[in-house]
Parts: sequence; C-alpha cells; structure tokens
Amino acid sequence: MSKYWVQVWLYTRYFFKVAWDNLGLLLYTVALPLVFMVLNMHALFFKPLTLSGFMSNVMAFIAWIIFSNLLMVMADIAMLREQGYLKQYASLVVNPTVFIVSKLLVCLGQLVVILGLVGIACGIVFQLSIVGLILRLWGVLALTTLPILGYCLPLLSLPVRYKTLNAVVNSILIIVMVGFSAVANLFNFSVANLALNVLNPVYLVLNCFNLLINGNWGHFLPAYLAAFIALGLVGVISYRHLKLLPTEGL
Amino acid sequence: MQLKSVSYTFPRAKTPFFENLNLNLPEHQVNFLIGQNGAGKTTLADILLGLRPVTGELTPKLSTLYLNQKLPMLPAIRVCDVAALVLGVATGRVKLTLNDLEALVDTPTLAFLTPIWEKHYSDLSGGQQKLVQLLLFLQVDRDLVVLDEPTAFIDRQHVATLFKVIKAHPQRTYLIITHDVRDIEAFDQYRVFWLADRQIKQGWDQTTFADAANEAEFLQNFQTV
Repeated sequence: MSKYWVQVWLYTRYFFKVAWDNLGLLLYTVALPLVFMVLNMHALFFKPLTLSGFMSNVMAFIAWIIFSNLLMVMADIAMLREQGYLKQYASLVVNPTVFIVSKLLVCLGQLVVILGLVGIACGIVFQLSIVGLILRLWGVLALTTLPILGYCLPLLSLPVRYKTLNAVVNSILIIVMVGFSAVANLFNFSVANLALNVLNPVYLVLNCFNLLINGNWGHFLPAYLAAFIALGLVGVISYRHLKLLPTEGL
Repeated sequence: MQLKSVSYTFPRAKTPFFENLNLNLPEHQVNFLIGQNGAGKTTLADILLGLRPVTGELTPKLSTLYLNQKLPMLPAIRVCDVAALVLGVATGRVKLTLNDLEALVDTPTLAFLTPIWEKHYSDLSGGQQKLVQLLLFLQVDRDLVVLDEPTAFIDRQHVATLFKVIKAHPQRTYLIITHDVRDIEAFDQYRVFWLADRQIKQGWDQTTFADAANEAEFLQNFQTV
C-alpha cells in the first residue's frame, strides 16, 4: 500500500470512530428527511406503488438524505479548518485530499447502510421488490457521489467563519430543496436539461434513479456526462483554492 | 532558514502587513519568537510554513510541522487512537499497540503515554490533552518544527517533559512562539527574535538576551516572571 493510501486508511478508521460517537448528526441528515417523507407520503403506505410512482413521490426525500450527508462531509472539514485542526494535521499528511477522501469513505459507508435500511423500509411500505430497490438506491449513490462532491467542494474554498458555517450549510440545503420543489411544481423540464442537473443535485439523483428504472441511457447519458464533467471541474477548481487556514484572523 | 525582503498582504487588505521582512533562522537549534499580541507572530509562522503566498525569498525549502496554540480535541477519542493516527501516518504502520510504542517514541514520551494509553480524551485534564498531541507530533521527523505557544495551559512539570522531548531531537530547527520567559530560560542555547512594528526588530542569543530588558518596556515586562 502506498503512503497515501495508508494515511487514507488510518484517517478513515479514525473518522469512523469519531462518527460512531456522533450519531446525533444523523438526526439532522437522515431522520429529518424521513419524518418529512412519512408526513407527506403516509396516505400511500401499504399500497402497491410502481417504481415511477416511487421516483415521483419518494426519491426527493432520498436525494435529500444523500445530498445533506455529502454536504455535511464538507461542512465537517470546513469546521476542522476553522478550529485550526486542518492547518496542524495538513503538515502531517501527504496532501489534504487525505482528509476529504477519508471523510468521504466514512460518509459513503454510512450512506450504504442508511440507503439499505431505507430500501428495506420503503420496499415493505410501498410493496416493492426490496432487493431491486436497494440495488437501485446504491446505484444512484454510485452515480451521484462524485458530481455532488464537486457541487459541495466550494464550501472548502470559501472564507466561511465557524459561527456562520451552520447558517451557510442550512441555507444551501433549503435553497436546493425548496428550489427543486418550486421548479417541479411550476415547470416540466426534460431529464436531459443540463442546467437543472448541474444546479440542483436533487434533479441529478432523480434522473439517475429514472435511468436505472428505464435504462434509457441514450436520452440521459449526454446530460449526465456533461453534469459529471461540469461539477467535476467545479470540484477541481475549488480544491485548487482550498483554504487550510482558519478564516478567523485572516 | 532565511527570509529575504518578504512582503505579505492579507486578503482584501490594501497595504502589506509585512514589507521587506528579513529573518535569518539558525538551523538545528531552538529559536523563540516573541512579540505583543497582534504583532503577527502566527502570520509569520504561517509564512515560514508556506501557508501564505508572499513575495520575496524563502530559502531553503524545508519539510515542516506545525503545532497549533489551541489544539482541537475530540472527547470520545482515546489516547491510543490519536497515537495510532499520528504515529501511523508518520511511520506507515496501520496497527499500533502499547508494545510497539517503545520502538517508535523517545523515553519521556513513552513514560508520559504509557499510563494513559487506554484513557479517553475526556478523562484527561486540559493540559494532559494538549501534551498528548504535542508529544506525539514531536515524534514525527521534520526539518522545521513550529510550535505556537506550546506551554500555554500546561503546568511547569509537563512543560519540562515537553522540553525534554524537544531536546531529545536536536537535529531539527525549532521555532517556538512564546509569551513566557521561563520557556526560554529552560534552554542553554537558543536565539530569540523580537517581532515588533511588523519587522524582526532584534535578535539575541543566550549570552545577550538578559541585557535586552533595557531596550523596551515590552522586553522588560517579558523578562519579569
């Protein structure tokens, strides 16, 4: 194993221990979307739902779970920066991507478990194939993780102070979720709409799930690849401007 | 290590904070940086670490290690977890037990860590928590080690342990930012740099530092325990 991957392994193990002790955060990133889903969807419980119906009615809440957890990865690292942790520990590791990759692996581990449990619960209450649903949710996670990571990375390049970080993260979440809801209610955009796939991760998640239901690669693939490249570029540029020093006192 | 005509401007500032700053940091010894609050000591440390973009010359390029004045703590983590992380990253070992420790750390660090190996951070005092990270980081080999107020919040017995560890690795260049003259007096050989008015106003070695008190009120107060 190269020095880099040894460091990633050590940090992943360390952050897993930290995350295990901080399960309260899941109330915010998992319980909250699930509560809203139950409040909105309880009329459909224990009635057969098609996968298309699942996508229209339920997937936005699952997109919320995926997006909020990945956003929290960046918020956590920004928090470490503001505490001076990043500046000190950056002098220890090969390069700062060790933190990002390790935190991401911990988050992905959590999301695999969470989506598995959500898939089981949804399979039961919406009378869908549990295995098929879980595999599709994991597939969506695999397709959307990197683009959403690119979407969230600017948080690490912006001079956001410790005290304002929570407000910024909450604002981003609200803008993305309310923005999705408003656009979905007012317009009927095609899944191939590049701007929506880039600007709103909820659309990207929904469209990837739709792709895994219909297998209509020809229609969505160009938009997916364009979104992947555009958000990847956002991520790369943000990483190049990564701030290691706390904003306070700059 | 040398800084020649270094200038630095804070983001969004119109005028440079440091302009034509010069510093000749003797290698393989302990150096101290003193100065009033807000004088720019941490900013200068950031520059030496290559964390702030400057104009001017900074030579040679050294491998660096930085220790923060306020070390962030994670209460649920045990001492052995932090040791496994810091020493693992430094040595490439993915597994670390107390038995392995003897081969990896110096004697004072081993004596300090052994009795608290399984303890959670939350069970340690603030000073012990800080010392755990300081001593572990000092086991990592780097050319230049910058310690930002390492003795703040630590009792003098633990400070003595910290300095024993520093003395156990004399091949490195140290820059210690301090507000406590007792830190300086703990070493036989050193150089003290005084940062004031955004310049290195003066430098003294162990033979001349005692006379520095006559030069300014700040230095007079600094030398009063």
